[in-house]
Amino acid sequence: MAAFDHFGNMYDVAFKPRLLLSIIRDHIPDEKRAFSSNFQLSKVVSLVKTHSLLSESFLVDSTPPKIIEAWKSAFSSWLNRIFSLLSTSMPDKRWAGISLLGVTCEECSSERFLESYSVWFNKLLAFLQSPADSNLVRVAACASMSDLFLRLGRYPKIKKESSSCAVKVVQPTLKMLTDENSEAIWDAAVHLLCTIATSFPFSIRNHYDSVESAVALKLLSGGCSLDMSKKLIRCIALLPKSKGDTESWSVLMQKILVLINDQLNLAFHGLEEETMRDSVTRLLVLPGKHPPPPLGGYILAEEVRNKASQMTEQSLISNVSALMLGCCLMLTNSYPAKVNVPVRLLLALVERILKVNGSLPQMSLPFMTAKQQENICSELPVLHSSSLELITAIIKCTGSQLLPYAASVVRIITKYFKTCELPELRIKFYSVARDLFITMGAGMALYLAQEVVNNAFTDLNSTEHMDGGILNGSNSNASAGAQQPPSHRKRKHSSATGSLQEHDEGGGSGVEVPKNRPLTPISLRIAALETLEALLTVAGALKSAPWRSKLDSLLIVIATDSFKEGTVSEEPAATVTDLQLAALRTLQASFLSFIRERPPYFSQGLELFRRGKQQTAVPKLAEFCAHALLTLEVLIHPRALPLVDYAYAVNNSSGEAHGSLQHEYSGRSNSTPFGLPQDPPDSDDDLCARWLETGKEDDVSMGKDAENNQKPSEACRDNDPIVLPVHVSSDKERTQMDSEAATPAADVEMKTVEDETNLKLDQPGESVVQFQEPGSCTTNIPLVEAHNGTFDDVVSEKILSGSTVPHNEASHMESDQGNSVNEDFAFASQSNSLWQTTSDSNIFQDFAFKLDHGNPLADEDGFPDIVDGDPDSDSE
Amino acid sequence: MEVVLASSSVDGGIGCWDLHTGAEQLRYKSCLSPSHGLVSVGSRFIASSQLRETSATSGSVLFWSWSKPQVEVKSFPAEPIKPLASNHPGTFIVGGALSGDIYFWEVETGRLLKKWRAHFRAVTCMVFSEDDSLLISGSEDGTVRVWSLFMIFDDFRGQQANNLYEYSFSGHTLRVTDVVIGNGGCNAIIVSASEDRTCKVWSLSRGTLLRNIVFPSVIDSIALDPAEHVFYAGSRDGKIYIAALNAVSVATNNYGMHIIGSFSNHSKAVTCLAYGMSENLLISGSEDGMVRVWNARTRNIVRMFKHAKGPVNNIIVVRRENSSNHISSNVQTSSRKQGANLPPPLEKYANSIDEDSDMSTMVSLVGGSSSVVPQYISSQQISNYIKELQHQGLSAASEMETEKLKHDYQMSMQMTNQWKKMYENLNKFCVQELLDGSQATTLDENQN
Repeated sequence: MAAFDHFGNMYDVAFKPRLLLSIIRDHIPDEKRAFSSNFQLSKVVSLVKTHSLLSESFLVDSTPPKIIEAWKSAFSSWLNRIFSLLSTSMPDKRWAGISLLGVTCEECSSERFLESYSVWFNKLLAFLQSPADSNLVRVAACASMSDLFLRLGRYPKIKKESSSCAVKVVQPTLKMLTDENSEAIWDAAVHLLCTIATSFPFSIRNHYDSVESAVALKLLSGGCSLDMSKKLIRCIALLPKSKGDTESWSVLMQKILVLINDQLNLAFHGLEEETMRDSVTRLLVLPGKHPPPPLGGYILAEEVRNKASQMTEQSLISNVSALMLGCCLMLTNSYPAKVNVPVRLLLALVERILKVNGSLPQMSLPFMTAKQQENICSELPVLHSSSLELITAIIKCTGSQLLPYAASVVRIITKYFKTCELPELRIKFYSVARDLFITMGAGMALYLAQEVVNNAFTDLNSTEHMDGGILNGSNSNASAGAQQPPSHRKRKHSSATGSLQEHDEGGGSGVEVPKNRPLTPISLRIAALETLEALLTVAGALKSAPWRSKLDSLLIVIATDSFKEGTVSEEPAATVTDLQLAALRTLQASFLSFIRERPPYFSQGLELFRRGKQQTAVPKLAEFCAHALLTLEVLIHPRALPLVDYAYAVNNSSGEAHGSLQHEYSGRSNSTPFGLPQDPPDSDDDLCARWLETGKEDDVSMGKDAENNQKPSEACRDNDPIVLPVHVSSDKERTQMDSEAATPAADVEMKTVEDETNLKLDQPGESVVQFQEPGSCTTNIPLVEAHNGTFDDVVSEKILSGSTVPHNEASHMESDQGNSVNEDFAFASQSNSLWQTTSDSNIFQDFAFKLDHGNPLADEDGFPDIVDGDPDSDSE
Repeated sequence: MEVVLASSSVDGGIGCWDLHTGAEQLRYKSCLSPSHGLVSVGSRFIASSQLRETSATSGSVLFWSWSKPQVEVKSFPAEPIKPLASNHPGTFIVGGALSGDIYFWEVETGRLLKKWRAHFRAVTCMVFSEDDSLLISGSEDGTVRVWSLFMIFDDFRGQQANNLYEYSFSGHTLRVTDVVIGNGGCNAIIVSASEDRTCKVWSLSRGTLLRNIVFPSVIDSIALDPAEHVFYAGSRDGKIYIAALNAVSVATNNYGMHIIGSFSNHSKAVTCLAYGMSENLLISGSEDGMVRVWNARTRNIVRMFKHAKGPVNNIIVVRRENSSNHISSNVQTSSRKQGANLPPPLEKYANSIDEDSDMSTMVSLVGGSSSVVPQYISSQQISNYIKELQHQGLSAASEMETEKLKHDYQMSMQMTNQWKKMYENLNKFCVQELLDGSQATTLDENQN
């Protein structure tokens, strides 16, 4: 390699073979040279990975063949070096070689891998089979072999060959598992088995029983660490995949459950009533059916049973919790076939476990020592925790199909949640409740809500420092129940009316912690808040009256407190931020789920979000608060935008209509009363339109007045037909006019009314006199009433829409008479303002109605069909 | 692929068209569905209730797989079923009976999980809420009821409560013809149509009537605009009315309050409506046997499908995954597989479920957790080992170990010394004894 053979930059392909060669030269030991330092190897791995030195990936066109050659040869020398390391007698060099081979399996290109995997496989297999090698070497061989299979799994085309390789590995691996006595080797072997079971499940099929018994033996004979037993049970849970049918899944599940039941019988002896045990056992083995062979075969079972009688409660229970983890994994792992999940049995098991709380029934008092009771109680929390995990797994796996059992799940939760006192377990209860809310929806939340709210109150109330002193006295149930302690009620009031200042004032007392009540851990408070958030999301407005107001006041207090807690708390900052986030999230959900009224603490809440947004030092918080402000903005500027892009529709489809209408228009009258503004507000941008309208108010109406004054009646007579309804209704009811326009008759009518109105508005006094004359056509009265009604409706709902145009269009189609939408709109926006000015005073409102009564009289000749359809409309 | 399915009360089979290309797909044979009796079960297969004669004392429910025109599974419930509905994942089917009972089946096993008395007269239409936790049913007796399925399955609470239902809306005076529910979880609105010529909008969260809309004619079907701006009502006078929801409603026009407009090209009554999500298409079925696809924006007809001579009475829009079951002639094997995938028939009676026997739930486990995805470990293993080596020299544990060993060593040294001393003492003693003895003997000998 020439000394000045420079390359482009660090992305240059030419750089890679160079670097690879240097690494081989400088950092990898060979037969003669020993490791200069062990750390070099990790340096090698990181360099290889960062620069993908083994990938041999380049653009075929733009890469000079010289470089391709160079890389190829560099790769070959890398392999040669590895092989030479493998053939040395020094264990540490063999270890290095094997491990680097594993890295090569992961990193090399596909062509390279397919070309040489069988050679590599044979080399690794030799190490697996030779018991003489040191543990270190064999562990490395397992790891590299597992990497090899993982890579092989990505090439389904050569599945046959790779499966046959996998079959060869199973036996030696099992041998390692049974013969060796080091946990490191077990770990590696189990990992290899798991990889094979996932990537090439069918290759284990012939060894199914032996694998099961080997792994089960390790698991049940005890003596392995908790971590190890988790890995072992994970391997067992994967086993049914090797057969892939419904039956073998069920059999394994039943085996595990039988074993759990047996061990529980031993552990819980004297602690539970017989009925519970019997009911589980009855479900476990259905009458008339044989129980499955025990897990790991009969011989093992015998051994285990002998051993179990001498085992301590601790090891029994740790076995049980490992086995329950196995159930969870079986429920949540994917499986090729559909499976029968014995939900009722699993729930019975869960309830059996949760029922045991360590208290002794009267009758077994004489038979148990305090030591025994102590042993069992020390392990019970683990057991309870795994049974709650089992519920979570059941919910996950059954999804909507949990429905028939949902009632019993809820019953279990409500029964044991109340009495549970350990924070860890309560967190699990909360997470189960959360899963239930999300999975089962509003129908479920109706029934579980009260319970969850009660529990959350007990957990969150202790953070209410200000009345903490008073809360001390009352026990948790009372504070959570229907009757709140008076202090709470007081607080609710104060926080309702008041505000941030109040809390800021109280800042000094924030450090106070109730004395005889343990402080609820932050993680538990987070869990409670998250569950409340799920509840509010799913069913915040559905029959929530009993708990809603209490909850809202609590949430705002917690959220406010969270902003100062960071300074006084000694908990790690991250969790404090998490709590704050959870509180704000829940607060946001509570704001968003209101429908009946304005959220009572909305302004305080907004203030909090704004403050949170400024805390850029905590990016998570600032990010969430920005998001919350975005979502809450909809509450401030409510809108219901139509799905259909109406503006687009107008521009496109009613083009001709527009044109023809212009014609018709000018035919009727040559002069438009006032100049049509050419750019009406974009009808799609509803908010904008509204703002523009109000802004225009003054000058437009003035302009109008001016116009009207100039050519009083004639101009108005020829006015756009559709203006009136807008006058009468609110600015939000533009649509009205469109449907009015549906029939030509109505058009004319409106036109005239419009005229009158304009006149009236200009000279109120006169018009009253003029138009209070009776004899008006009764058919028009409903019109007014209807207007009135809808007006209220719409205003109260604050619903706005840019829907004007399509309705117009509809009416065009119906009546086969085009209309100028843009013009309509312009008028609408102008005349709206008129209405707005008038609507300020009742007199004017009266006026408008009177005008309506009067108008048919005024223009009897213009319109034949006034009556059209109106009587119907007022029947409601 | 979004497809339109249409069925009729006269045997024209189930017509199936691709909504976007207009291409006709398979026609599924022999279907005589009553109104609301056609449902796609979780997009997995098609189910339809059958009512040969209105006076018949028994009916049936048929299943078709997507790939085969023939009926594949026939079930015969205990009494005639008219409306069918299925929850969104397609795990449950509910059927409304002429007697007013609602039947609740689990699809996977066909088990009749529940049957309850829902109405006094025949159930006419049913719909699941967005989150599948509520069922809304309408009946010939004019009531619309909201059921929490959780409550239905909770026997204990069910016995305690006065009513199984959450709400019972009794605003309609005549037969309820259609019920739909909108978006928004528990804040959703329910719109019901009735033969009393009204449509009523109900609030789910408040349980109250929000709006009553009187139409010129009887409305047989409702379709909600997905943005719930308006809803479309298909009427017996052949028009499709547009009624305001969020849209600004109008005081007067030809039709009445809240009715914004109408459009029509049907000569005969509009019997069913559906809304195609992806392109804002409104699909209507008519008594003249035609299926019309409207552009909801322009209200122009985009496509027309000729279904049958008789009236079309069901239209559903189904989004199908572009799956392997392409309709082609040579997929006999795959279609046989498909057939095997269909669930067993729905059971006639609920098995008396013994408390002790375990009901298991058939579940397909897909999309497993990430915990089992194996990972490349060699490089991890290298670094672990190196860390271990690193620790060996300096770790506190090994120091402690050395200390302990040293201490042990000292202890045993002391022990050895003690033993040594004892041995020496003993030795001395013995030697002395011996010497003394021999001295004594020599003395004795000397004396002797």
